[in-house]
Order: sequence, then C-alpha cells, then structure tokens
Amino acid sequence: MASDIISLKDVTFSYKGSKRRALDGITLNVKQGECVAILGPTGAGKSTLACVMNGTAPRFMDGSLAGDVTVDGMVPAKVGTAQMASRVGLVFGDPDTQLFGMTVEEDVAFGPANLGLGYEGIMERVSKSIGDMRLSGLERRAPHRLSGGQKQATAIAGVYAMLPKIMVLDEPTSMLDPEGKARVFGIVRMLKEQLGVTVVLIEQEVDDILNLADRVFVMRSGKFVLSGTPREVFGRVEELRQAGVRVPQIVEFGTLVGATETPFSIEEAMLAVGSEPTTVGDATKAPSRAAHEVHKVHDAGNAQDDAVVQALNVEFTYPGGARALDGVNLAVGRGDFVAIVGQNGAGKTTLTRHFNGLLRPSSGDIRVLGRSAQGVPTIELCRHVGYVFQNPDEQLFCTSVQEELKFGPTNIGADPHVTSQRVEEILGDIGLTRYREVWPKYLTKGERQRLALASVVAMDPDVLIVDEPTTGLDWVESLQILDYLERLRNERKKTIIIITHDMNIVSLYARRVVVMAKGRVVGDGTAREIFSQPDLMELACLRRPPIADLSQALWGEVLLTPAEAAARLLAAKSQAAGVCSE
Amino acid sequence: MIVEYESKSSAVHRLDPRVKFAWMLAAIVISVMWTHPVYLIALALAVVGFGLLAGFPWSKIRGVLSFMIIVTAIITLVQGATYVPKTVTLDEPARVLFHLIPGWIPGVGPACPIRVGGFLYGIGMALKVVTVLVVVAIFGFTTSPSEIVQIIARVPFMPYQVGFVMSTAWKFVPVVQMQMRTLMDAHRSKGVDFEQGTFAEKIRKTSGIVLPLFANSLSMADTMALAMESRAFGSSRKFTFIRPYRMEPFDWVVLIGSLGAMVASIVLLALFRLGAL
Amino acid sequence: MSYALALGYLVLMWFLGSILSKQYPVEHRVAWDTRTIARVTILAAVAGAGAMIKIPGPATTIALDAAAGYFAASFFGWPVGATVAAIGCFLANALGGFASWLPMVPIYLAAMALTVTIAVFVAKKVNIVVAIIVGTIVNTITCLGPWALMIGTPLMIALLPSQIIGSAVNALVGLSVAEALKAAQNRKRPESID
Repeated sequence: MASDIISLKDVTFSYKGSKRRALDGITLNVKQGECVAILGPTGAGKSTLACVMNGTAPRFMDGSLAGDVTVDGMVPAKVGTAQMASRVGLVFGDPDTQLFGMTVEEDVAFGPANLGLGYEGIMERVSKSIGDMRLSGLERRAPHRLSGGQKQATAIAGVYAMLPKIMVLDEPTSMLDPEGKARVFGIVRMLKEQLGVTVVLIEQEVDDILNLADRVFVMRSGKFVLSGTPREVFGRVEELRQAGVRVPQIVEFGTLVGATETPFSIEEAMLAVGSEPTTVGDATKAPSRAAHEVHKVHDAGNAQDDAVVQALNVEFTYPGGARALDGVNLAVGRGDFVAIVGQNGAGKTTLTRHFNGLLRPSSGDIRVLGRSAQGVPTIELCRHVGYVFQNPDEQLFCTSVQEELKFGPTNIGADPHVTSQRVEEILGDIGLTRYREVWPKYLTKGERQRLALASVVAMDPDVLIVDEPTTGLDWVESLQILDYLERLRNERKKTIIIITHDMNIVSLYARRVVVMAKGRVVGDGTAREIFSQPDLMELACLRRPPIADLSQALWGEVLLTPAEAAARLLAAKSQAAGVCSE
Repeated sequence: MIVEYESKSSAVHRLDPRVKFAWMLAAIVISVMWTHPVYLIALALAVVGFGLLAGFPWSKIRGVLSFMIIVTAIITLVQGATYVPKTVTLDEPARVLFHLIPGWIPGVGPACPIRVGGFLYGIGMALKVVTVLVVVAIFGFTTSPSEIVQIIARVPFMPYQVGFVMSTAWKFVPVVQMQMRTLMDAHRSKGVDFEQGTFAEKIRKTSGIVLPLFANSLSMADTMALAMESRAFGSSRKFTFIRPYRMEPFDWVVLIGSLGAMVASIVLLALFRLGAL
Repeated sequence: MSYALALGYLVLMWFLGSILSKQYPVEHRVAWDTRTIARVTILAAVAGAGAMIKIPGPATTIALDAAAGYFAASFFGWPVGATVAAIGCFLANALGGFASWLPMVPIYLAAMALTVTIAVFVAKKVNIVVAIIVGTIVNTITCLGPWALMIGTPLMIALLPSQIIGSAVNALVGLSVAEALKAAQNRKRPESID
C-alpha cells in the first residue's frame, strides 16, 4: 500500500541460542500518521517487534530474522544506524538508562550530535524538541534531579530531536506514577495530533489506549491474536482474557449486563442501561451517599496494644531539610490488608520505612507489636516486619533461587531444618520449584518480583510491607502477586501493607485504604469510602477506577468492580420488574 | 580536600577550561621547581589573587589549611635539623638559627640545632604544598564537571567516545549510588549487620552488595547500549560537543601569561638559578 | 624532572602493553562497539560510586573504587579492564575530592591500567590469590612511586599501609565477584529446564 510507512510481512525472529520464536509470523501494516497500540502479556514479543521496526533486531540483538520488513521505504537490516535512527525513534520504559547527558540539554543533543550535525544544527533541534515536549526551563538540570515523568519526557525529546517520522514507545509509562503517566500520554497525543508522527505504542494501560489509538493489536507468544479498531478489539472480552490482557472495566460491565453495543465510555454505558447520561462531570464531583457514612475506622491517636505496627505523631525531616512526615498517626491491626496511596512525595515510602527501622522519626514514636521501636535496630525488627522494595533487582543478592530464599532466615539465625522446609514450601507457593538452581537474573521480571517477595516471606515476619508490588508487571502477573499476598493474609494471618498507584488493585484487594498527601494521612477507610470523597481524591491527586465513576453516575453510590455494578443493575431491574408485575 | 564546583560568573569561571588548566599546570610546575621561599611567597600571593578574583570561599579550606600548617611546621623543623642544601643565595647554609631545645634548659640544652639552609628549604617545601593545594582547589571550584570532560575530550587525537564515556559515567554515578543505598537497606532488612564483625567479615558483607551491583550494571549497560544504538551512536566520525568555547581576550591574557611565566621560570632557573635557594 | 620520568613511565607501559597483547592475541581483539562502550561507561560509574563505599579497617577506611577495574579486566578482558580502571579511578578520585588528581592524570591512568592488566594476566596463569598479591604490589609501586618523587619518601611511607590494604581489598573484591558472576552465568537457564 502506497501510504504504508511500516510494512511487516510474515516476520519471524529468534534470538541467538534460543529455539523459541520470539516473533512467529507477524504481518503488520501501519499508515503514515496512524497511532497503533500493541498489547499483550510479558514475553509476548512486543519489545522484539519494536526492535525489528527500528532495525536493532537483528543488527544489535543477535538473532535471525526472516520475512519482509520495510520501514519508510527501507529495509532496516540492510541500512546503517544513522539512517534508521533518523526515521524511527525508540523509547522504552526505564527512565534512567536512556539518558546520557549531564544535563537535559546535553542529553537531547546526543542524537543530533551522533548524526554529525554542526553546533548550530544541533542547538536548533534541541530547542525545538525541548520546547515541544514542554521541558523549557529544565535545560541545565541534571537528570537525577528530574521526576520520573520528566525523565521520560526528556528521553522522548532526545529521540524526537532526530526528527523521526515514526516513534515506537515500548511501555513508556511502566515505571511512572499517575502524574508521569498522564504526562507521557499527553505527549503521545501531541505527537500524533500536532506533530504528525506515526506512533507505535506498546502499553499495559488499557483505559488510556481506548481514546488514543487508531488501531489495536494484541500479541501473544509472538503472534497477533486480535487486531482492529479499539472498539473492535476491546469488545472481544473472552479472547482478551485468554490473551492475558486486562479488560477495561466499562467494557466488562457492558458484557455482564448483556448490552447490545459494547460501551466504552461512561456515557455509552449509561445509555446502554437505559439511563439518561447526566453530565458525567457533575455526577462524579458530587459526594455520594456513602460519604455520609464515613467515619474514622481506627482511633489512631493513642497507643493500641493490639496494633501490629503503629505510628504515633511521627514527624520526619530528611537530612537535607525536606520535611517528609508531618504528624502521622496510623495503627494497623493484625490480619489487615492496607493500601497506602497518594502522590509521589506524599510520604508513603518514608512512612513505611519507619516500620522496620530503616528510618527513625525526628519526633514521635513507632511501635511494633506493642513495643516501641526506638533503639531496636533493623536487623532485629526485620524478624517481625518484612520490607519488600520496589525493584526486585535491588534486593536479590544470591546466585540461585534457593540460596536467595535461604538468605534472610539464615541471617536472623533461624533453625536450618525449619528453614529448609519453609524454603521448599515457598518454592511451591510461588511456582519456582523447578527453577531452584537458576540464577535469579535469568528469570522474568514477574518471577523476580515473586522471588523478592518470597525471600522476605521466608523470614516469617508478622507484617509484610510491599512497595509497589505491580510496577512493570502485566495484569496476570499483578494478580498472581496479589493473590499470593491475600493467601498469606488469609491462611497465615499475616498483616499486609502495600504502597500502590494502581486503583484497580486497590479496589480488588485492599480492605483498608490510607490516603497520604504532603506528609500527612488525609483519609483512612475502605476503598468504597475513599472513592466516595471526590475532594479527598483531588487533594491526593488520585483517579478512581471508571466503574466507580459509572456507578456513582447511575446510582449515586460507589461500587468497586464491574461484577458488583452488574449485580446492582440486575437487582434493580428485577425489583422494577417485580413492582410492575404486581 | 577539594572544594566543590559552584556555578558563578566570576572572570575566572568564565575562562575557557583549557586556559584554567594551563594556569593550574603552570602554577604547579613553577612551585615544584622553585625552592627559594621568597619567590614561592610571591607565587602564593599571585595564586591567592586569582582565588580572590574567582570569589573562592576561603573558609571552606580553613580546616585543611590549618592541618597543612601543622604538617608544614613539622617538615620545616625536620628539614632544618637534618638537611643542609646546596644553595646559591645563602652564604652559610649550615649556620645555626636556633636550637629546638634551648640553652636555658639545664643538662640537655642546647641541642638539636636548626640550621638556616634546611629551615628555609623546609619553609619552601611548605609553601609548595600549600600553593599546590590552593591552586587545585581553585581549579576545582571554577571548573564544572562538563568542562573537565571537555578538556579531556578536546585533547588532540582523543576519540570522542572517551569524552562520551566520561560525561555519561559522571551522569550515572548518582544512579549507581541510589542502587547501592537500596541494596544496603535491603541487606539490613534481611538481618545483615554492617557495623559488626571483623574486617574480613565486613568485606564479605560488602561483597554481598558488590555482586548484585555489578550484575545490575551489566543489564543496565545492555539497555543503555540499545538506547545508544537507537540514537545512532557511532554512526558518524564527527561528534560535536555542545557549548564550544571561544577564546576571549582575557582567555589569551591568562593563557599566554601562565605559559609564558612557566617557560620563563624554567629558563631563568636553568640559566641563572633564579628561584633556587 | 619528574615529568620526564612520567613520560618514560608511559613509554614503558605502552611497551609492556604491546608485549602483553602479543601474548594474548585473542583477548586483546576487543570490539569497541556500542555494547562495550556502554559497559565501560557503567562500570566506570560504578567505580566512581564505589569511592563512596567506605569500609573501616586497620589503619584506614577503604574505598571500593578500583574493584570495578579488576572486575572488568577479569570479565571482559584486559583492554576493557584497563580502560575501566583508568577512567573509573579518575572519576572516583574526582568525586572523592582527592586533590591531586589533575596534574597526575596521565600517570594515574597508566598506573591503574597496568595494574589491572598484570593482575588479570596472573590470574589466568596462576591463580587468584597470587593475582591479588601481584596486583597489590604493582598498584602500590605505580601509584605511590610518582608521589615519592614529587613530594618525598616520608610521605610515601606514611601512605603505604593504607595503599597496600586498599589495593588488596579492591583486587580481592573485584576478582572474586567476577568469578562468582561467571559461575552464575553458567547456571542453567529456565528455557533449558522447561
């Protein structure tokens, strides 16, 4: 086709040393100016596809490529890096390893400098790119002083400065908080609508893709299993589930209530159930019924003997002078599943690091299992409070899975026999028994995350604090980790505290939600109660899941899952039917 | 020991980094060569003048300086007691200036004679050390990391990749430091005590951090390499570093002045023993 | 005069380097492609960051800056190792505030490069322990030697114990971690188990 800027026909690719086909017969045609989204679980081959498009596979990635690949009229494998780089830009999820310069300016200049442009040419491109990506004012800033969203924006600016016609973005928002995600999606929209760039977006955030992409492809095991417009693809709920992709909540709701036309937005859903779509904006802003029933679940101001961990009037200031915690009172009871939510910088991580002694309060007290943690070193507290960090690679130290699980218990002096038994059990629980001798680096990210969590569970602490359990994971992997946490809570009576930005996870698993903003606890209740307070949500810069907005608009009440909403609707209908039949 | 770079716009800060380097080099060479205290004092004053021009925060090196003064006093006395140099300016280098243990102490004194030659030589040495310290500190204060990278990158025949490696490695240091801190926290959270233990044990524990750090570095390097390739790294022989430096009049003045002084002092020392004790 | 010595020193090292590369032609054929440069960069950053890890020990605190150079030499061959050692230690000193790095640049670079190269050479031929000893000796001589010439022997003797211990620890950590990682890499991959 004449206007196809990317054309792949029957493309297969295998990495060197692997018999498995990473790409297995991919045929894809993208028109100039289109925005194409590619979804799929980890390991589907999405990143490999991205590398094939910009020529780094097979040239850089060591493997064998078969099939026809034409990008902007050229065959990437046969053409040099400079040629491809000025046509196809590639941005991926890790904000740190894609930035090279000592300052934002230097980094954006990297691409043009590689192309051999002179000083004037480079600076022209740099200013244009920085301006377009709204990074003006940050030119001389060092990368480690930028927020995640700013870093990704810089990475995109750096690639854009090569003036490519096509931009491939490989899970650009996976490491970002909601603010960063919004920023990146805004940039994608701008690239598509204002700058006329063809965009290939690989993502897990299905809700945002709906309104952004012209076409959607779902990948699994190196093949496309679904393709079409967003409406066409997201309507096929069962196939999406099988492919391991999360179904947008509104769509799921529509399927459950048997809507004739799959709804994609709240307005469409309301129409589908026969309601007048009120101005959705008003409906979502009005406080709902549940708001009146909100009450503080726990009286956190005094020491509670039955609390597993407790913060009493905790204040904390970083050595540099930044005030991170401003009088926090929080008590967590045994067997609770608490989600701490809030913007980056609200103090969530700072607070949880007090519970195992990594940080000590400037004033106030931290109590663990009824006793003050003051003076008790982390190596003691870790027997009771386990802490799982966000990045699994920063807490896996050993050269085999088994060793890793033994590490914690051995250090705290657990009985070796008991430890061996526990390790066997845990290996089974997380499904890594056959991998016991494998070097953790060789596992997938999801497996490493499970391992990191398990290595802390192996110490058998009473409380498990997990910082961002689902970052960078696909939906199935996210559910696996959270199911494991819920099993620990339910079967082993552990107390679970998670820090997360994912409101879907919060709706499904958290029994209690603690909202933090600017170093204080500003909200504390069930997910339902919290989502019913729009002022609170706004203060903490949180966005509730679409189903909550929908149920609010329909019935003035916040519901958490599509199933709940469907049940509510059917109940209302049968009630109405019952009334009519009398 | 070094004072950190601060971004200011003094006349010295605005110099081309290569000129600053030349100045520093000249000052160091001259201070190494000269041994006569009077000359060295003059040099020291010139350096201090430069520092004042740059707005150097003298208070920051007060600690180091006072330490150095004590050390230099010791050197001076030691040299005075032990060393009689070949001298061109002094008539009697072995003349005794004073005794360390003065005459009025019964029984022992006078003892430990401090001789002129050695004493002055010692003062000279002390001045050398202090001058070099201050010169390097001023350089570090006025030259930003990217300027330092520029100096190295612009050495003739230096492949541009070297400049890239230095500047990018500099950028990654905070990233690696963050990883290190988290790795240590993660170890602590699993019961590893870094404070306790013999030296050997501490090394072993620290190796526990080094291993994952290096392993992660390799993965980071691979991702980074992909990003570099995607931005056409290595495709062109020409690589322009942004912010080229143009030589202003003041640059030339300092450059020629410094190099000229250096050459002149070498020549004058060789021919006329100027600057030698 | 000391600069003449420095020059002679560099020449000597270049000479030794060419001999060594003839000995090990396979290893010295390192492809300076993007991946290698990326690795050098990150490992140099690790060396720089390593300057901040300080282990308290007898006589002094030790910084783990040179370890990255030893690691790189063992893992990727001596040319990569030498480059990492040179650039990494330079960075480490710059960040650690060690004042004299500037004028000593060429001497120091060559010193570290040579140390690491010889150490790895020995490690291959003999064994790790001897390599550590040899590396330490070479490091000490090459790094302290110029100091002795410039400022005086008493200072060098003062610095000797900390330098020796520091070199030894760095060599130990760098080389042993390299061996451990090589062993880890040889473990089975999940693919082959499934």
